[in-house]
Amino acid sequence: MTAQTGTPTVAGLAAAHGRTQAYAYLDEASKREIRRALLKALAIPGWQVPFASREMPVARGWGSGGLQITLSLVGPADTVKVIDQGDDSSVNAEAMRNLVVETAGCAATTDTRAATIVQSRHRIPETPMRPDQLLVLQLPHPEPLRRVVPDEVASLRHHAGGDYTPAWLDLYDDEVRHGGPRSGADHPVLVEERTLMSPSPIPRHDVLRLDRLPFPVLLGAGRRARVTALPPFTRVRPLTYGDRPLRPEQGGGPCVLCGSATSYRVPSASRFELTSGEGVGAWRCSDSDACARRRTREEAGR
Amino acid sequence: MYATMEETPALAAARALASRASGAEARGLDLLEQQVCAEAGLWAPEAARRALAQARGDVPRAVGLVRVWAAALPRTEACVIDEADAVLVRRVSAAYAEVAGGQWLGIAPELSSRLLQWDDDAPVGDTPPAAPTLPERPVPDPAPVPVRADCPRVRELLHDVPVLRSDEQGDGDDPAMTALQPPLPRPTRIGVLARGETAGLVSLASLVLGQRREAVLAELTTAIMRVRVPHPRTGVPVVVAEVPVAEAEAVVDADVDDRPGFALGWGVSIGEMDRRAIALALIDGAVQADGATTPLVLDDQTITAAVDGSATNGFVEHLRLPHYASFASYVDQVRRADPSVQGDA
Amino acid sequence: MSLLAAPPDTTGLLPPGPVLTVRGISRRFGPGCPRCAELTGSDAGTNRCAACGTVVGVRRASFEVGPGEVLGILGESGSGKTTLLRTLHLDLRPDVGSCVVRGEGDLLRSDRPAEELHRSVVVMVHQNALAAGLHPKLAAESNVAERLLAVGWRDVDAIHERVRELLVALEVDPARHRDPLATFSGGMAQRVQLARALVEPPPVLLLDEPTTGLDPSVQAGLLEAVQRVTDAVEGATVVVTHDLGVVRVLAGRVVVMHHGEIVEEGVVDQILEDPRHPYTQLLVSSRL
Repeated sequence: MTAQTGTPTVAGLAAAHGRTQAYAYLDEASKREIRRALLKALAIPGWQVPFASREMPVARGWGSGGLQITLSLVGPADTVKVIDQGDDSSVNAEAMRNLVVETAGCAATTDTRAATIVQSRHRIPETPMRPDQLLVLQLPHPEPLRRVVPDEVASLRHHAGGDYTPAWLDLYDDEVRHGGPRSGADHPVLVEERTLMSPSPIPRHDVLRLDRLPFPVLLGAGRRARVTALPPFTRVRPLTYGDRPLRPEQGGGPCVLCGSATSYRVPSASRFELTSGEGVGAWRCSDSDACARRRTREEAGR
Repeated sequence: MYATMEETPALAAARALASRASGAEARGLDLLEQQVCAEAGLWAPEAARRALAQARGDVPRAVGLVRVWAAALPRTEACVIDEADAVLVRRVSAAYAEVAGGQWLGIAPELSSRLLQWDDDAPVGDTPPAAPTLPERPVPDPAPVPVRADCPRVRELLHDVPVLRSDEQGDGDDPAMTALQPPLPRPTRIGVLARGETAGLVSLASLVLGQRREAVLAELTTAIMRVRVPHPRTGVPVVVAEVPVAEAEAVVDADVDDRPGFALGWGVSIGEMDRRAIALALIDGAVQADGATTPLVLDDQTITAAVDGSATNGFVEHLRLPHYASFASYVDQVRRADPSVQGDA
Repeated sequence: MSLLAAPPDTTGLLPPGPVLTVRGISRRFGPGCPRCAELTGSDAGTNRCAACGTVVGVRRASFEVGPGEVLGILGESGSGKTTLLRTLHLDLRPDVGSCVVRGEGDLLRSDRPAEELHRSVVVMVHQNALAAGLHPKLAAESNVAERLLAVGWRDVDAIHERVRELLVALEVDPARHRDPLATFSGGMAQRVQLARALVEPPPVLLLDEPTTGLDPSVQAGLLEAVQRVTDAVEGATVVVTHDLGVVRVLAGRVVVMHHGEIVEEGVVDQILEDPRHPYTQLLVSSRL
């Protein structure tokens, strides 16, 4: 069947684009394998599903896992947003976005609301996403037990038995010796009270927002060749003791651009602040799209 | 976003300097020559070029040839490079979006396409040896190019979090001229590692990195450094070489007086390959943080990943990507755990 | 009820009979041959088969330990007591034999990971605290807390309180509770191990030469601490030692091992006062 005018089809585009590469870079067999792994991951929320990670046109550890997920799911009618630590204009995010757009012939956006697929490195967009959207997270260390259990086979046994004593012990030791967790970003989470999962190195601000999200979250680790997934409305809670709730990061001040005091903010340090001895200077939103929208609204309201 | 990436005349000047420093650039194998120099522990691109040709491209053999050649040559005293003599062609911080002095990517081959091109006529194999394009006069005017002296160290920003202080400063022993006996002082160890084989360093660094809670590149620079040596007659320092040098400072998680904090790893290497500097900084940081106390686990996944070059290089080099959000999260936790800073805003 | 779950409070409701039932455990090291049976054992005077070189570590060891009872296993090095202990601790798989805890199936063939059983069912106090199972880089307190975490305690303050109480009772200086275990002396580390055993008394507690290798002055105090622990444990306790003094203080009953075989079994006083087997007689006379 030939492609009709109107919505382009994958087959039509594949015939038309006339390149030696496959549509959306990956060959169909690879895409199918990744999709099957994703389906399995969605069926067992939080479980690490192995897949044969392909060599990608981005370096391993630079988002090759997330990119493989995005490319195996993207279609010509999609609109893709790629962010790096909350920022659409990071060089690496731009490179990946261009690759997706060029090979898949789809649209790109920086507006979270307009995207159908959001690929993100270490942030969850602050603009609420809808059930018809998809969040792809880049995942460096899929194994939450990697530091506390000696090897992968032993870790698998712990997951199978739901025995996370080593992780609890690690957390307890941090409490008694350091007075609190030191997980920084990448605080492990319990999925459906059953499976321990690495949420990828998102800040604690975002870890606390993971519970019962209305959209699917797909996590891809290219270097470690694993995918994990959270289907919509999955119960997710950080691994914490009953009397020690996980505390989100406290920004040092409101965003200098939009004035928000509730967003996740990161410090910057210019020459002026350095000499003043304060160490860190102005704080600003890490999610550049949400920040820009707040500013636009502010201006419109004036 | 790299905060200040706009092209400025200063950067253009720096770039011009960079391209002039490596005369082989036109031939496309300049990074290979730099790698041989780095692993030989000696800046001698002309010798490296010859060695590579005589070794038929076998890098370890070429490194051996250069080291053997250099072994019996006379040496000068170690000389300190003036920070005003270090022209920065790249400066990046993965820890902070904005740093005093600014950030710029410079020439970034790692961000260009990773797809093999078949449709150009790029020369492969034999190329005529290009005559080294020596500058006719010394550097035009150092003022317009960004130099190290103009850029405060990003590590200075870490004064309000616990950081392991290494007392071992100063010059290390020259690994080529010393009987090395453990335990090595840190400067000597850094010197030995700095001429390590690239793949070995990266592999080791990827093992180290895989076990850390946190590892963020505070600062990464590539500089063209002018090396000055006192003139034997006049005693006036004169420029004898312009050497490309990559330097990295990485923070890794560490226990500081039983409190969570950072160890500050430092790495420097001849050549523009910043993966060498990043790997060195990671290894130095991990050694300071844990010393010999953390055994390496050699399970299947670890060892297979540790020898897969695309995995280890990608993993180690990804530290160059921004980590602003994750770094802020870790610092927030570290500062809160510190009773001396509790309660501040 | 599964072996994994915490032992329920069934005081007075426990089924009659032993907590630990060991039946016919044998373990040899080597290929074995038809002549091993006659060429090894107490009567043969060796545990090494002259025909094939096989060492018979343990042969047909059987015994029972009741609730709250402390059984001593006495013997020299090479008598097979360590092989038997390692088998009960699931470190070695026996060739034949079974070990049933509270009538619930053979522990030695459980499909649960040993690591998990070591936290919930069979806990060992090792001769060397840092040799096995413990975490030298973690705080002493964390090492004790691990077993509470394994059974589902999820409240830092409550865990901390319980652990602190026990460590203090076992005379570990509160100022040191948060120090890494690796910084502890042998005797102090042993107390941490005892606290770890006591914090959630397991059905089966194994003590491997609990006072060996320590200064005599430390030994006396520690033995008292061990006694307090064994008194408090309502499950089965097995103490392996070559020290008659330890057996006398801690154990109610004792089995004597010689060249891989149990040669005598009985109440401690009876065995020590009136030994029947020639080997036991030798052992008692030489050491008293």
